[in-house]
Amino acid sequence: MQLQYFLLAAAALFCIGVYGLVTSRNAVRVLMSIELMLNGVNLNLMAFSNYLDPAVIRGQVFTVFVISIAAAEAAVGLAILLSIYRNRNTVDMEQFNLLKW
Amino acid sequence: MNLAEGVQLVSFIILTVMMLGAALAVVLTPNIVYSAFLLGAVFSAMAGLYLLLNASFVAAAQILVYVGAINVLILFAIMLVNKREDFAPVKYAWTRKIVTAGVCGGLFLLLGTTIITTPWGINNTAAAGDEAIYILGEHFFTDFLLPFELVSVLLLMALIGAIVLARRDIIPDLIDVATGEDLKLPERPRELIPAGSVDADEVT
Amino acid sequence: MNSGIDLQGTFINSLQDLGLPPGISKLLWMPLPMILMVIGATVGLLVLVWLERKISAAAQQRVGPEYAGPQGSLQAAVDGLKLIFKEDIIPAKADSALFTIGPILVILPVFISYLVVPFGQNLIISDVGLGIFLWIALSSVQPIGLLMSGYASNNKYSLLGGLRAAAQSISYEIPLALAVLAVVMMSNSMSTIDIVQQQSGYGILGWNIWRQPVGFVIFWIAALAECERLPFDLPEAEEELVAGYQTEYSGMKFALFYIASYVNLLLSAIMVTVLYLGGWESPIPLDRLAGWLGQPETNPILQVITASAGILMTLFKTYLLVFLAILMRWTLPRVRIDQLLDLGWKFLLPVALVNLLVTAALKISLPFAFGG
Repeated sequence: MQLQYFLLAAAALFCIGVYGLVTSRNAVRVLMSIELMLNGVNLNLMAFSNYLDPAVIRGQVFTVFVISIAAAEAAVGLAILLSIYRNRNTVDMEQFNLLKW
Repeated sequence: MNLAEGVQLVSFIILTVMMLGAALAVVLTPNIVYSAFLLGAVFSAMAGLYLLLNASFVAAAQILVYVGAINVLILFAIMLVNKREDFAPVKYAWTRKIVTAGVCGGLFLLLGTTIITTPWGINNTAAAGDEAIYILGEHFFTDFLLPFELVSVLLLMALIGAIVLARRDIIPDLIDVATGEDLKLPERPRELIPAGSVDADEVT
Repeated sequence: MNSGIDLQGTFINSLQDLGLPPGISKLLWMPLPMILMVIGATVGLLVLVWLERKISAAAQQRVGPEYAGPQGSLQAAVDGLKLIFKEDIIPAKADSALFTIGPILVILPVFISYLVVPFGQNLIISDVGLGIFLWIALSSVQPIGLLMSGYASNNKYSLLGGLRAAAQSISYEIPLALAVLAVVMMSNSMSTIDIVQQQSGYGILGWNIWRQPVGFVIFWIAALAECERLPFDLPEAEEELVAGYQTEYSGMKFALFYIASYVNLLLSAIMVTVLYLGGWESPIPLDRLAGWLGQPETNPILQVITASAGILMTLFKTYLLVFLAILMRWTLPRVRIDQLLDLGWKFLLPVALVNLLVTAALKISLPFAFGG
């Protein structure tokens, strides 16, 4: 087992997340893609923590922080989504152009 | 390679294939409900990978927060806004997909070459294992105290913000500003739908 | 500290005496406790179902199951057999994949949680450091399965039941975890073994229920809500939702939900026992009794006796709590959904937070009694 395997898996997950973030039209899927990207970053941190810093495990500390931020982000993001859905009656990202001008 | 390493490698391969396959499916399936459930599979596979990385506490926290809270929240949101709507086609949508796929592939190649060519200073100290919980606790209350407290405030802010954003419109006229005694925010009552009416939009 | 009976060590040693290499003998040992635990949970479930039916009958002045076995004690097994032979129906408009995965996701975490159930110092499948936290984490997976089956059934009642189950489960997880946290703070460990150890030594007086009365009540209410027992059985409230997320299920898939709910009740009762009622400890400390009788701790007969007494004590306390749950089922009316959420968020959560704070303060000021 090598550090590189984990880092490659994390990089792949992050790239999948980026792809989903840009191409998705359903707003919920956009939020899910953000979660995927956060998870990719988490895996990176955990791999570093285990292979480069196994005694002090600062990577795990940051992962816990990222997890809690992700929880906050999901709650607020979905609340925003709900209120947009109530006002515009759609979850299509192309229709959300309120802040364009 | 001894038995333990072989088992680790096999479980790593299984978990990674499961994680990446489910992640791809999350992004690509047309059915949003499937992708939400597959997201749970991604999170569970991540927890398994954390176990391989000697971090049982974070693995359990991953299950608890991501699978138990975030995924359920996303499912809730989907059930609340699940309207079978066909998105209006956008011109040149396929170019966007191709360009994005190219950029993402390029990003992955770039990251991959960096990962492989960098000489990592592997530290061979024994991993913390079950002691990790104590070490984490020490970190939270010594050198990471400020971020820890900030996160707790942030969570409180997110809690209140989510409630304020997600509730139905507030009727300002009904709030008695002068006395300031009534701290309740009256909600606009939901319109009642007569029984038997078939609203094609609402029924999923 | 008396480590009590060590089946694993004895088993592995005897296999090695037969000439097997240590790796293989460990590998042979590994599935044994798991199989034993699955069988134990299933038998416990059968007993529990029989008890529920008998006690419910007594509460309503009926006789209850009578013909299958003595006093109808085989009724649950017969029911299970019937469910196996029933046709497995998947509704035409249902989503068959999710419809099948849903019940599996509901039942798996419950059985995995039995990993950390202790019946004695060494009578546990795996003494992981996470212990009780593993149980909390795993129990949070269940609502996904409920939502999945609710959605896949393609039925309004099912979907409403699934949504209610998920909402209830998330809301009550927080007070539950906070109540557990207070106990964990006192025993300085999340391992179930350490939590029981910390309560041992003084018999019934050392149990956590005296130090955590508020936590005990919060935990019990939250655990009942997590198990969807009356008065919190809103997800399957018969009068409102037919049967909630189970409406469209039949045959073995329905049985999986049924088994999961009862095994979960048993598990919650065991966890209450471990956290607040001293686990396998007897009300009178057995070690001291043996000491007065002049028996050494390593006496094999004594070890077998204490181990079986531990198992019996755990089961006795657990079934006492189950009895309490069944009595509550026939005593209390069902709460409404808004009352349920109010109780969880506006009452249990603040009380649990205050309980945690008070425990922390007591731990600092009275370290001898609250595990300094």
